[in-house]
Amino acid sequence: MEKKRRKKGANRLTLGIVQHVFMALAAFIVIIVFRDSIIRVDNYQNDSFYRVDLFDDSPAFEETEVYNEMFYNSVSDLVTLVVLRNQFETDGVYDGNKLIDITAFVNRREYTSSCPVTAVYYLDDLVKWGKTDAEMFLYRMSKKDFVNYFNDNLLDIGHFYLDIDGSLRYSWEEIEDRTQMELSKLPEGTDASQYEEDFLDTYLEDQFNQLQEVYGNYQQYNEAQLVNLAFSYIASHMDKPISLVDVDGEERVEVQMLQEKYMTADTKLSPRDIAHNWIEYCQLENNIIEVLDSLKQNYEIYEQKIRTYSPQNTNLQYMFRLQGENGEGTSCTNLSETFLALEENEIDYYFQNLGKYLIYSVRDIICESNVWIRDEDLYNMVDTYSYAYPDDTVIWIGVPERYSIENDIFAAGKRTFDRIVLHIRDYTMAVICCFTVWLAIGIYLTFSIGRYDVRSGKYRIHLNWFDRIYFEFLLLLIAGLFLIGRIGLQILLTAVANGNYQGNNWLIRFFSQFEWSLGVTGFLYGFLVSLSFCTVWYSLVRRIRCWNIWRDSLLHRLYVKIYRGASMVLYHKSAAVRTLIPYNCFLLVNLLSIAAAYLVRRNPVQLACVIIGIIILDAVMGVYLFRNNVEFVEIVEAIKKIRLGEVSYQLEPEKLHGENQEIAEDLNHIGEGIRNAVATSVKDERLKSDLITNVSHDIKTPLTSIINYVDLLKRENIQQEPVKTYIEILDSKTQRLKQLTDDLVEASKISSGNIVLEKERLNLTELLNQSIGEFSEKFEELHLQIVFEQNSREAFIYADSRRMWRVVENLFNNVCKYTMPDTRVYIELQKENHMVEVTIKNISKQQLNIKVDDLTERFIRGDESRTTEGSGLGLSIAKSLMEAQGGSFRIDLDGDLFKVTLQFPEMEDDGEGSREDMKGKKAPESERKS
Amino acid sequence: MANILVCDDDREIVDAIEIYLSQEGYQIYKAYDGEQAIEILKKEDIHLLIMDIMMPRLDGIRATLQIRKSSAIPIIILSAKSEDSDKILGLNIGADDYIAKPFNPLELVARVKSNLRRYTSLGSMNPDSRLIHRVGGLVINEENKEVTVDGEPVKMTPIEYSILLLLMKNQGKVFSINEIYENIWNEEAIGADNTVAVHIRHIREKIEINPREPRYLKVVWGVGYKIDKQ
Repeated sequence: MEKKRRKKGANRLTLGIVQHVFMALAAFIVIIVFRDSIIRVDNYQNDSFYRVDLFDDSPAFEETEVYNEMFYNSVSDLVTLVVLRNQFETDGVYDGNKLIDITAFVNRREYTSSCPVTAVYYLDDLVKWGKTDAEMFLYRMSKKDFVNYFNDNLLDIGHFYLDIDGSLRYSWEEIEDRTQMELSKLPEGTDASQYEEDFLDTYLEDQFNQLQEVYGNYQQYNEAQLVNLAFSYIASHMDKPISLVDVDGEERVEVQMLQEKYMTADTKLSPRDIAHNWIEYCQLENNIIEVLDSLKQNYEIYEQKIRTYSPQNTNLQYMFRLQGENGEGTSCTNLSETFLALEENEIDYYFQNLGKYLIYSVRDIICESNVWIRDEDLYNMVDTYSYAYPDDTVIWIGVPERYSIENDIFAAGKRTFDRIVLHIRDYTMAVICCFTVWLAIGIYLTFSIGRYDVRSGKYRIHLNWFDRIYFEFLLLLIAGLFLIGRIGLQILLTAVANGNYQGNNWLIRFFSQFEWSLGVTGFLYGFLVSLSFCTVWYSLVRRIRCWNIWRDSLLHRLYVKIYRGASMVLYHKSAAVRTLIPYNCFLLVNLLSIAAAYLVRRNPVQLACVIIGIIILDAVMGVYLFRNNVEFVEIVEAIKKIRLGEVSYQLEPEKLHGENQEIAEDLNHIGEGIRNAVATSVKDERLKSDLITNVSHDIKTPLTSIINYVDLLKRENIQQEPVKTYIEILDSKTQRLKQLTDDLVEASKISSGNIVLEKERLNLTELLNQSIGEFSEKFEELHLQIVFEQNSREAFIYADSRRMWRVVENLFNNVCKYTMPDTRVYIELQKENHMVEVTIKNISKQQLNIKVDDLTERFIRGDESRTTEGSGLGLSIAKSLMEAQGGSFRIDLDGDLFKVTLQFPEMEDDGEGSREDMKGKKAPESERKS
Repeated sequence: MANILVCDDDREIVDAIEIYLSQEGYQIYKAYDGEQAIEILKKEDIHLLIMDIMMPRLDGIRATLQIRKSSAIPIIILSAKSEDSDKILGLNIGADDYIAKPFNPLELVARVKSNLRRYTSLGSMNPDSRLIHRVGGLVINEENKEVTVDGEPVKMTPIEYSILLLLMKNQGKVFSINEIYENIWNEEAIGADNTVAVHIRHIREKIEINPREPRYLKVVWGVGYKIDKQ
């Protein structure tokens, strides 16, 4: 048995592992397929990817959305790339000696120049400079040095003027500005040039006068004050933060200035040498920084894109022909040099023969393409770099039908498409198959849990420790596993989506590092998911099969604890514990509730809640007590009924509660016991009676022969003395035997209740008179004088007349047998208190040394000789019959006085009699003594 | 003389009955089960049948039922079953008399005679006289104040005759002791008395074969006396 079980367990284990493996396979396939559907792209600064729609039903890769997206993004990239190539290249090759005019570069998108000075650097220098970032250094100097940094004569009087308030002001532009302002005030049509001279004359004169005034003032200021004025002006116009610091009691100016790493290309100057004043310097410096930043960025993009779109790395072919208005043009391409010399229509022809192509003319804004791309998108792309693309620019982009380059996105996409998308149905089928097998094994294992025991018709289930842990913990475990599974899935999906992105997440880094890890992890993930799911599921199934979910739960344990505690108190042996503890609890709760009600008396809502709570609690208690009492009354009622003989009465314990239920069950058992005992005894009596009847029948047949032949012997008239005596003895004994068998049958029938009473209204006086009449001769023979005294002529009773005759006959026979001859026998009939009482008194001829009770016992007679006539059953039969008819029978002995008393309830009159009759009719025919 | 068939599985009883009845001059045929009895009935001219109930092969009840299909001869059942219910059953299926075992041989002989007389001679008697009252074998003739039981005259005292006549005239009616007293003595009864009861007992002893089990004058205990209509 044990061996078989082990073997079965091992089989199950193997099957379970197979099941997990199938799930793992399914997960593996899914992960691999999804991984291949992601095509990673090296892009500037961010890692982007294309997702091949696995369920795309396009016939070829070139028709898919992904292809379109790739193509579109490539066009966008190329538009940028060509701009950058023009920036960095000369004749299609990177040219480090290319000259970059800073101001022109900054303003390449606009056509006006905002900076009056510029610097020209070598491209290489700028790129290198940009790579290390622009470094600044802190320049500290006195105010005077600051003001005079670019020009010593900045403190010349010419830079000062008086404002409206008459105070001295500084500006190096004041004069020109004022002149311009005056000129703008002239009326229309005036010859400005002529007027200018006049104006200048007057103005200069005016200025001179003013200058005198200024000079007067100027003279009043010392140098420091003048420097301050100039400093304030410059500081407020500079495009750069400066700060004043106190160094050793002297005020110093601190300013951040660009650390120049490279000098300009031609003149080998620094910006400081080029600028004429602080304002110009600041502008130039800012421009340089901007160019450095811009070039640094552009160079990176350029480097990456030129690599990506080099003929070795992409299947894409492009050609940009940029032609300015003046006819001079440059071309940008990744095709061979020979294409540069081709005419436009020849290039058109070449590209039109490629698989997918696009030809765009900037001037015409016409796009010719067999790729799905919108004209306005193209326009927007080109328009962003409109400064770089002259109007006559023509763009050719195409992808050949056959991908000669293996590692670009198009080839990868096509590989994925051909390998997976076209066979996605097979992969799906494989996954579904794996899953179906997994499910099938799962279902089989679910239904084959446990061993069906034919003998008991139940499932035998072996529960391991895992099935024994509390159900709540199992639920927690399920929740935990679910959470962990979700997190795992998220990580996995992120890893799949991110491909080989070198992110800072160590997990993703790990996955991208090792190509195979993703598949293995998918496999493991599937295995673990299946394992944990199956473990929990089978445990759950086993629990359900055993029905011990509730039993093995914490709640159940708690419930049992509480239930046991309550039971211990409620069914405690000591009535004090049983009653007082719950009662005190009840009181306490009530008191606490009253206290709570007092505390919250100001808050009507809470008060109402507390009061309703008390009322409900008390009502529940009241109902409980009421129910208990009702049930108790029911039980008492049942006990009474059983006591009164209704032993078949049964309580319904299901309807009762608690202890009452137990009592009711016990009571039912007692009732049942009594019923069984009564039934058994009735049955025994009847069997006995039947036995006696049958035996007596069998005795009667031979007895008949004996009587007959004894009688025949008597007729033989035998005179031989002893023989004659013998025959006499035989005769008397056979007669006695006859009597005995009859009496025996009757006695057993009466005592077993095997008789049917036919009760009727009868006159006991009449009956006694009739009986005396019947016995008159017998009494006379024995010289017995009957004295019949009655206080009423009629005494009606309700009884079976023939049985009553039998009673009286037995009694009279008794009288005849045992009364002393020559004595009086008193028969009295009295009606008293609705009772009819008959007494028969006689004097015994023998001493009555016997107990009264024994007289009515069977086979007991007054004399012990047992030689006289009679069976000894007479009194017993009489007593039984009396009792069967609802009367009473009593024997009293007083010396030799033998007194029998019969008592019957009187039947009042006819009216009542008929009522009694009706009553009698219902029960009587079947009325039996039981 | 009449031919009597005695049927009982107990041979000694059959022999004893044969002795008694032979002494009375009857021709006896013997059978030991119901089938034999029916066989003999077919062959011989039987006038009366005495039969036990509990017999092998064919019991007395079934045999009686079968005989009653073709014959009206008197059948006396002789059985150890002495219950009232047994007697009622026996009489109901067609038996004419029922004697319980153990029986008094004289009683048996008396009953055989009574049944035979009724069957052979009395059945054809003209009962039409108003002054002749008849119940079964009991006939009272007002003309000559003669009482006969199964044709045998019975001697009675005048009071006994009066009581019997009263009961015979009012067959089925129950007379209490007082009613009888008032009717016969033409006096009001003062207190119940057992005089009437004693007379009744004497009458029964004269007209009944077994006074303890009367056929004609029946005691209704606690009520009175009556003679049933037949």
